Amino acid sequence: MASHATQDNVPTFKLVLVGDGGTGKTTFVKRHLTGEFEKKYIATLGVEVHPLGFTTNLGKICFDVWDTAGQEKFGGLRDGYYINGQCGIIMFDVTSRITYKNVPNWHRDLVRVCENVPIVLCGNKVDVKERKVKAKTITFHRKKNLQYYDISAKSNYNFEKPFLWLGRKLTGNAGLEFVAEVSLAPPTVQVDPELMAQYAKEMEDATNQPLPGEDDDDL
Amino acid sequence: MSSPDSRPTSFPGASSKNALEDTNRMLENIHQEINKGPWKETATDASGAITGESHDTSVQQTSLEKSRASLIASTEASTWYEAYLKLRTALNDIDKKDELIILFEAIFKRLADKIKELEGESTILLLKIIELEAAAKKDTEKLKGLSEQILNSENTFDEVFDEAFDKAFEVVYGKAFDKVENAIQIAWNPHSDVNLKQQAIDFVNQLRLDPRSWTICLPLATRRPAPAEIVQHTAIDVVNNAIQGDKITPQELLSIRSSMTSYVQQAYGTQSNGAQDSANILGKFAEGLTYLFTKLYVSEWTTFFDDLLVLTSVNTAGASNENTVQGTKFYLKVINSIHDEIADMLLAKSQAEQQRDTTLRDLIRERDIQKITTAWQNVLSQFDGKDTSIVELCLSGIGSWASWIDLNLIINEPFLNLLFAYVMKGVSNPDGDSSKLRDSSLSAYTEILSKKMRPADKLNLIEVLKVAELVAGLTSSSLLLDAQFTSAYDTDFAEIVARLINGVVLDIVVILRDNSGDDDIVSRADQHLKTFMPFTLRFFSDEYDEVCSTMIPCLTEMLTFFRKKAADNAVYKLMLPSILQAIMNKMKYDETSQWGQEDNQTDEAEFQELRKRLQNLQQAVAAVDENLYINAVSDMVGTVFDSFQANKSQIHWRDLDLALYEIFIFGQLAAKNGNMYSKSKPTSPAAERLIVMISKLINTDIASYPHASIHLQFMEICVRYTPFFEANSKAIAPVLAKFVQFVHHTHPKVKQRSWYLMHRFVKQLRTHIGNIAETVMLAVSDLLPIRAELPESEADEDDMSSDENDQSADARFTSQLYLYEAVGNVCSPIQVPLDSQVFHVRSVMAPLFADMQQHLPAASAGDARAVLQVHHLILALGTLAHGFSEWVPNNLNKSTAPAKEVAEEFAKAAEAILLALETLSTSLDIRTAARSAFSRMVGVLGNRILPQLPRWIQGLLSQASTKDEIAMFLRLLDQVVFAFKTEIFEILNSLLTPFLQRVFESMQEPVAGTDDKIQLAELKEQYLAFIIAVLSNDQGGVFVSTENQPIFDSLISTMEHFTRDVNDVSSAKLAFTTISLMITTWGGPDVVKADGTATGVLPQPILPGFERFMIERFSPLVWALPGNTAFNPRDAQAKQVLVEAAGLQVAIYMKTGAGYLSYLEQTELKGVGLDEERAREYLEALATADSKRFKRYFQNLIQKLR
Repeated sequence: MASHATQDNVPTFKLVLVGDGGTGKTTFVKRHLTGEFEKKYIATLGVEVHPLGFTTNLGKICFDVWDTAGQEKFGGLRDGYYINGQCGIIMFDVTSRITYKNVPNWHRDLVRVCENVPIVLCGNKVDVKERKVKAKTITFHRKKNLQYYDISAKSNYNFEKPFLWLGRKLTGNAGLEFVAEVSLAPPTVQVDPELMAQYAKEMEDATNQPLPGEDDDDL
Repeated sequence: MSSPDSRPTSFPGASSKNALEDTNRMLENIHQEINKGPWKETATDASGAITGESHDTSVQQTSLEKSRASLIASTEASTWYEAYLKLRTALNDIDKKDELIILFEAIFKRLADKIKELEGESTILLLKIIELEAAAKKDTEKLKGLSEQILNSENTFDEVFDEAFDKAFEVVYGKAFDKVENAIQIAWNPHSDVNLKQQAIDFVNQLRLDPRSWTICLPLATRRPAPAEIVQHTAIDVVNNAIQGDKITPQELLSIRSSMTSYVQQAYGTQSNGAQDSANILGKFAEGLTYLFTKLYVSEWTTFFDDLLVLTSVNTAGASNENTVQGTKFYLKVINSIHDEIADMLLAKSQAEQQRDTTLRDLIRERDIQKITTAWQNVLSQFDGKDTSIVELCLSGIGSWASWIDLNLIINEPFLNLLFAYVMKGVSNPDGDSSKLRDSSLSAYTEILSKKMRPADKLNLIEVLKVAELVAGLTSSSLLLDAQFTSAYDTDFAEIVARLINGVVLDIVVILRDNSGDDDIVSRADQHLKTFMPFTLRFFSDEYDEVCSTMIPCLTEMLTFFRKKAADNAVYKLMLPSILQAIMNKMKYDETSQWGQEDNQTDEAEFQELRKRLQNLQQAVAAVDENLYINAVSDMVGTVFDSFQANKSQIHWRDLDLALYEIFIFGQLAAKNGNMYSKSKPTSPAAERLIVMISKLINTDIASYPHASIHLQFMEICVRYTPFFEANSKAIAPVLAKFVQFVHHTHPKVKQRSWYLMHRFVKQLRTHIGNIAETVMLAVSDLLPIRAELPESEADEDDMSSDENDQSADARFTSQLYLYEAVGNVCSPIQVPLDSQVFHVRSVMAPLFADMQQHLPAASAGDARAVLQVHHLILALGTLAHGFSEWVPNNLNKSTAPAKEVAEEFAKAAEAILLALETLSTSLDIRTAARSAFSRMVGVLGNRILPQLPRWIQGLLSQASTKDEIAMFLRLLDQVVFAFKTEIFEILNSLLTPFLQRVFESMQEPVAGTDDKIQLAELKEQYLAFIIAVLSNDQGGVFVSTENQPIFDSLISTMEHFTRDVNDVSSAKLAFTTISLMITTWGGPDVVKADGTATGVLPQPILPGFERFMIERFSPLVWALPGNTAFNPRDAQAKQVLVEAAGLQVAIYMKTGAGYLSYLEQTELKGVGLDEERAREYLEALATADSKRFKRYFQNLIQKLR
């Protein structure tokens, strides 16, 4: 996978972050404080780009995260921002069914512009007790061969997982590890470990289930 | 259209009278042409014109090539007329318009001629010229000059024509383009100024909203030289947006089609031009054509696929023609995009969209599928070995279309040979390109195989595709066999193969599950299952967890199926041991993994997740064959423990860890609901084995193995299986010795967790552990000192990621509290002599008191750390008390109150906490800690807490207390009233007034925002619950005592207020309940029997004057809510309020009898406007004193009155 190197020769990948408005994309990116210093603050409008650096056992890598506006009216160039994207994260909000329903649209728009790039699907806000999108309904990633993670941008739950997976895919090295602690903003809410355990269990049960059949009226 | 007689080859003088006349005549002609309406013909010609036939006409070819403008083809005569009208209107505003009109009309005429000749090209462009000029008055002069220059030129017509367009293009579009390009560039640049960017985005949004924007954006997108990539991309997006929407006319759609297809033909249909367009530009044009397809394929553009094939020069006839790379790519992108648009079942679609998709799919299958599949084959054979990306695109298209087209069209010998060859080449010689093709081919296999079909067809397909042979070949290839366990192993490839196998095996299992009656199918499917079983296990056992995970779904399904069948199917049963063995092997930490390393937490967490999934699989095996599972686990554990015993240093921690993990999860079967024994016998054979394993775990001293993971697992097991220790109390001491050792563990994670685990262990076994206070005290005393640390800016909590290894000061303190609780647990058993209890409690608390004394001054001076320190100390004291005794007065549980001597020690603690609270009552943290300590102190102090009650209330309900705090405290107070109902009266009596005043104050504070609203509702509920608690615990006298008489009226007012509040019906309901309870409390004996007859007793309420009070103050309350128009008596909650209101009336009637009925009749019912008939019914219903019936009656009445 081609990557461009910054002046410090750190391999840098363009990561396109998409999903409905209000799913927590910006909060998610802003957990990563190291990138924060280099960027001038601008309101979420069209796109914000955050360089997120990680130290791995293979050296430093950087994701230029293009945090795109999810809301239609602030969308600006929409899929124009995806041009030359090398990987992607599609985010939805587990407390809002419609945001999951829209995932296939985001996915289609993304792959139309970025062919054959690794993509992670993230269900955000798992810290909220009133979860609406249950684990067993989250199957999209299995049909499209994406990776899925439950995350909570507010509590940092699973923050680094999507980046690690993408890093491994982009470098083609499954042995890639993050070696230094990722510097995160302190969590503003605490994840209830029991709740997380329950979700993990549900997810796992769901993963073990076969995919529901698609309604195909052509048979 | 006919041409004019004379066709000038150069422009005549433009400003002559003749020219004007000429113009007018020409315009007349145009009008006539328009009125004849022959443009429909030209419209239907369009598809012919754009599919390449126009190349044959030399005139058209010249002009097409010479003029950019002619790229934007329009055949609409209506546009012509529109353009003319716009010109007239536009120029009305401009100075010297006469002159300009002449100039323009002259040009216009010329162009009109030329365009007629070209059968109506490029009118859209003209239209834009005019529109722009109308908008840009400032450029009048420039345009005038320009026009004259053009008209006076000596050039040939074609040159003038082209020049005119070029200039016009520049003047008109140039400005529009500049603006659009500029806006897009600004919106694109992440570093643009925010205001500017906002404007740019507004402009782009405007472009999307305006249905005419495509007339600018399409020429921009197809301009040569092309604009910047992002500009071109966004311009196409705007056009695509317009096609998709419903805002443009069918004619416009056809115009867009003309322009887009022209571009595609020029750019991708020939060898040269568009080679530089990047993948995403191709993608955007493909998207546009897809939308055009969905709009036009049904009727206007039935030749879509034919035209597309010609445009892109993809050959359907054979492989003889050289296809162009770019054209083929584009063609395939459109094909793939059409599938995504009309056949992707994952996209949420409306009913109408689904209908449209079905129609389009049916039409494709009817008209064009043959061409499409032939084209795939031609493309494959032509680009095989020449262009990997094209072959990949083609394979992915075949894979996706396979789900809805006849497979016979794609599955044939050459195709299968090709697929197979790609896979094999990519395996034997896995360089970049061949491995890509290998992976795409395997994905195509997987997709084709996943098509829904009848069981027999599916089994045929698996055979026809020779999947077993394929998989066998792959599995034994050097890439997957020899390279395994080396760095050359390609895990992504292994995952792709695993996915293929998982899909096939899932299908086989589903066929077996759903077709048990069909022997032929079953035997074939069984055969397949047998064939694929080794491959399933091979990939499930893969060293890489991603590959293993890929296989879990099919194994889960298989085991679920086995569960129903294995009892009478020996073959399935024989498969189980190897499955179980594979699961257990995967559950072990692998060679490269470290345990508990700081930088390895993500891997660790991922492995734990996989372990849980494997655990479920293991449970599924157990559900099929429980004995197999029990034996396998106990054999494995036995073997590991034996070898540990034989030679401690030889055994690896990973083996021990697995054994311990298996013991831990074994309880899911062996200790359901925590039960291992029933009447001191094991509950099941599994429980028996578990007991053996635990005994051996302790007897062989596994915990002495020097690895942190073993220590942690050991403690977890002991805590999980405490029933074992209840039955084997001799085992407690050695285990406790380990706990005592591990609370000082060098590994921070183990150390912190051990505090919690020790607490759980001693708490659950407190009645069995005897006197171990001394031992534990000695062991933990150095861990007890508390040091609060403020979170240092943000850094302190940095590693609060998704792991459980929270080493922050806060987490450490939370764990430390468990130690205090554990100390309380071990000091309190009766086996500990009373003087030791006192001694230990004192020795733990003394340093806390000293510490508190030392920190209070600084804390009251505002030192945040000192405040936090005091907070921690209060919590520690409360937790210690909690550990010591969970006794609740008046509660019928076994525990008893601590002895007087101990209670006296804790009284000192309470005193210390009160002192801290009184000093720092403004601090929320301190109040919170003190409130928590208060409830715990009740258990150790008993009624000694009562004299302190006023001070607790004073401190906990400070001026700063929030509604939430007051509500929570009220809840605690309910328990205290209940616990000490025999002795609390005096104290409650003395403090009720100030206490209620504080509550009223808090309820009256202004409510700002939803949080406040929720808190207020909670406070109201707790306030009412408190009054109910006081009344129902026989303490109602405090409300009407001399001391509290003054506040009684306020209390009644709050009730009255609640019963009227339509915005909070749940409080209204509770208020009615409360009032009814007051009536029961103070109303005296019943004067009416349950059957409605009089008891013969006269009303004699306990409170003087209460009879009138009930009737005149309480009774009318029931009408307040029903009289409010905002109250909906059919709402579920509202119905409940009515039930309670009716209950109140029944309660009054029971205490006052006939007097109430006559009051109702004479006063109240008239007041609310019931007619005589209804009033009579009403009184009858109430007089029966049948509370259920009256409640129903009242509900109905209120609903009827609405």
